[in-house]
Amino acid sequence: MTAAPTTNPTEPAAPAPAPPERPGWRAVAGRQAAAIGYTVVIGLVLASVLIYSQGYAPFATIQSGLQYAVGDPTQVARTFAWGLPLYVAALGVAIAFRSGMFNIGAEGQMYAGALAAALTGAYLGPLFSPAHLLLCTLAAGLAGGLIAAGLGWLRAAWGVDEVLSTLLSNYIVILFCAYLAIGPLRDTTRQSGTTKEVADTARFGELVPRSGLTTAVFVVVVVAIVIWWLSERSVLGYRWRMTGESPAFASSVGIDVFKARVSSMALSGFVCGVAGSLLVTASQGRFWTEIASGIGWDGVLIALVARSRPVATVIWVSVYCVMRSAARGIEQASEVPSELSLVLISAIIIAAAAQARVFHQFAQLRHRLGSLRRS
Amino acid sequence: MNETTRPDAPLLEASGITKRFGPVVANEDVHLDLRAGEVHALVGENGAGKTTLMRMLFGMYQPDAGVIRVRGEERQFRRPQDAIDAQIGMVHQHFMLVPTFTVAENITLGAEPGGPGLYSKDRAKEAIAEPMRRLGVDIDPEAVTGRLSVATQQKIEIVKVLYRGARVLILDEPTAVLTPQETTELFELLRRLAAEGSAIVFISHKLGEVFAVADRITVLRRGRTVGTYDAAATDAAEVVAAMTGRSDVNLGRVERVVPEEQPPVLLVDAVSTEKPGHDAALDQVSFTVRAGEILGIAGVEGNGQTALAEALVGTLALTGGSVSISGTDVGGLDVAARRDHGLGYVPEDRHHEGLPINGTVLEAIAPCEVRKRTGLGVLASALSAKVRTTATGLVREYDIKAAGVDAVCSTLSGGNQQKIVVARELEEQPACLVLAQPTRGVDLGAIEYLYGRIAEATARGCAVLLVSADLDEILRLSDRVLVMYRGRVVAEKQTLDTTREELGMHMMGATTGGAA
Ligand SMILES: Nc1ncnc2c1ncn2[C@@H]1O[C@H](COP(=O)(O)OP(=O)(O)O)[C@@H](O)[C@H]1O
Ligand SMILES: [Mg+2]
Repeated sequence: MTAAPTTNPTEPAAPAPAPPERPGWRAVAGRQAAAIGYTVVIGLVLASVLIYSQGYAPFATIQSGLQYAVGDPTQVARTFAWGLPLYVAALGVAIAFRSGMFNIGAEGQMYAGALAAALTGAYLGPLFSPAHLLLCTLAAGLAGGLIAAGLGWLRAAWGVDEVLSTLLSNYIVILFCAYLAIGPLRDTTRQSGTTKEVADTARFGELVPRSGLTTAVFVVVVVAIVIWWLSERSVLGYRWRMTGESPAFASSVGIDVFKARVSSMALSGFVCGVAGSLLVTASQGRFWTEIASGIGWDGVLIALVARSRPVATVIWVSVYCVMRSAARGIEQASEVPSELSLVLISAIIIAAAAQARVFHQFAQLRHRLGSLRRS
Repeated sequence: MNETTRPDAPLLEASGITKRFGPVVANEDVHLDLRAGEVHALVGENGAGKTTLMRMLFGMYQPDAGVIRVRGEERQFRRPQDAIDAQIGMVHQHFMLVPTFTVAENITLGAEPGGPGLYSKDRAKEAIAEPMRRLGVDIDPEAVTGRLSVATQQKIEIVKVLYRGARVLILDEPTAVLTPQETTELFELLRRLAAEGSAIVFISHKLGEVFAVADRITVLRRGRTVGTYDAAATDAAEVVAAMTGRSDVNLGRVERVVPEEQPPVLLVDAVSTEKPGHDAALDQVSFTVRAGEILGIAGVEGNGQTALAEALVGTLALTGGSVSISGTDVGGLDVAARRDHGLGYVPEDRHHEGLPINGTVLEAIAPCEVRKRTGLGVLASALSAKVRTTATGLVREYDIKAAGVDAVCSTLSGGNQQKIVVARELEEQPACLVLAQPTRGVDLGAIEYLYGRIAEATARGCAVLLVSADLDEILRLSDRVLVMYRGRVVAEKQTLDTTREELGMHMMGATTGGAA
């Protein structure tokens, strides 16, 4: 995923001073690297203090935590297996942010996607596995995409604030999915709240034995590359970015702001739905009532911290996966209670968010909700 | 300040100042001295380095070479606070006030009379009374800043600077946001401050203003000082020549060949709109613009000119009437389709509508090319090699001073930003071009250049609608003038048969002669 500098072969031969290539890209990368460094240092310091206060040696304990997270290939695979849906969800949220739409309904869209994938996997087939997986993924994407597109349309056509509508949609969607899983679609052979297990053809095969890392990793890589191209390089992405950054400019030069908003929301929801499907097809094998367990929210936070740049989003998710896994390892090695490692992760997130001026963005959101001003 | 200062030395002096931004030399060996009691105008084309020089005097940038002396004593300003401590204050072009704070809170913010962060309403009120009196204004300290007019906010900025004890005031293009009456009022305040011994640096593009208020004039060109002139001993022609390096700059009417009997291109018939938030509603506006003609729209701002431009380009819906371009009715089409039918548009708000202000030059020039992409083309690269070549070519052709096409638009001066907008719009060879306030905040040299490009476009047959609050601009450029008042056209004149006074009368609502 390298940003190929667009060199210009057709440049006329006149010896004009060559314009510096993409200084913007460098600056962004530098700022993100600094932010990540800062967050890691804060994390280490906080962790040391916490561990020390519990009477353990900080350095050794953190080392064993890291050992647990990335100590050997199987551990690395385990760490990132958990993160696969998060990569996709965070990238999905980032797409909407890019066009100025705050899709904070990612969690709900993941549930919708997971349920759609679970149903397609359980009631259709068994089929030829790639086809079955494709169908599950598409069904999940459609489920998430339709929800987000509808909310995007409400915003673009009627000015219904998407911050509020996507937020509320989480509760509606999650509760509705839970109702289906408890009621009509319940797997009667199991405890309450789960649907029927999907056919084997609707599951990704394991890539690294006993790690839970499946071939879904290739799907994630493809999704990441496609999203990077779409939002950073393509005409579509240009329209989204201009709509997000300078809506008045966009409309005066003839960009269809309405279309840009709805399409970016639709794609954002689609990708979040796909993230939900991975919960089923790449790990759990069925839908249950708490399947996403906040991954959608993590995705929203990471997209904000990474300022919705796809490359930065991928890096932040990776850092987050390692931190989370290391916190688990510390928990095991030191019996530091798990509540404390949650406190630790929250503190790190707050530090990262403050650094990325996420609170400033929240303040703007609040302002938007409060003043009922529509663009 | 201490014993090394000399009473006869200039209040503030910059000597041999050089400042580079990467490859761009913004200031080179610049000299400026300020005497107590003078209003000192700093003039120069956009990108000449005026703002950069002032930011160094205010400690926002550090010079690469050269010295700054305060009353003869050499000083180094590492941050604005150092400059404030040396009694220097700056009013930025974009105000730095908190809209939800009261006037007193804004003025004392960061320098509260009770000590850092300790705000007391009464003490603040007391403390700001003195600077208000010095400036000779009376603003309610309890008023909420965001509700006050731009001119009043500017006065608050000046009071804020005085409150911090400034004896040297730097005002960067303060009149760009003011009406003519407000400008006159500001000048009275500036003269008053100078009379009590302050030194004032006044940056402007408008020579009329410079000669109205300044005692001395320093001219910068391409980052270098051309010279300092006594206002009483020079004239506009000499200053313009110094600014532009040419002695043939035309400040009068733009010479064009106006072809006779061309077919109408833009037909506007009985157009009405609802009232947009920021302007008057249009009420039965009708006119035509012929190929090669420039039709001026004059009027006091807020009388429907903005609404007219927006209704033509398609960002404001019509409630009645029709608009056609080259025979096609475009009244029901969206912006992109109207542009496909040959409409070009230079919006009045450069920062919001004209450019992606935080985007790159390349992104600002890309829309024409990007608009044509449909179907699977939207998946291809937006800023392709072709767009890059076009953009690089335009930057060179229009002599846009930017560190390449990847420079961020907000780092460019107003004139260079406007050149980008005009270059982009003319590149498409529009049949009809709507110009809204095309040279607001743009300097003389760039104005003349832009007028030249517009004249070239009309020679090609482009019909131009020129919406401007600046009567000079309308008189210099247009063939015919319509005057708008409360959303209606109240007068139509041939430019050569009318006068500024006559237009001014119609701008106040007088409806004689040729009213539609
Ligand atoms: N922060 C900056 N980074 C890079 N270039 C700059 C910066 N500020 C100004 N410049 C460049 O320096 C030159 C002088 O700019 P400026 O001082 O703003 O001119 P003026 O105020 O006279 O219009 C311009 O070419 C501008 O592009
Ligand atoms: Mg300037």
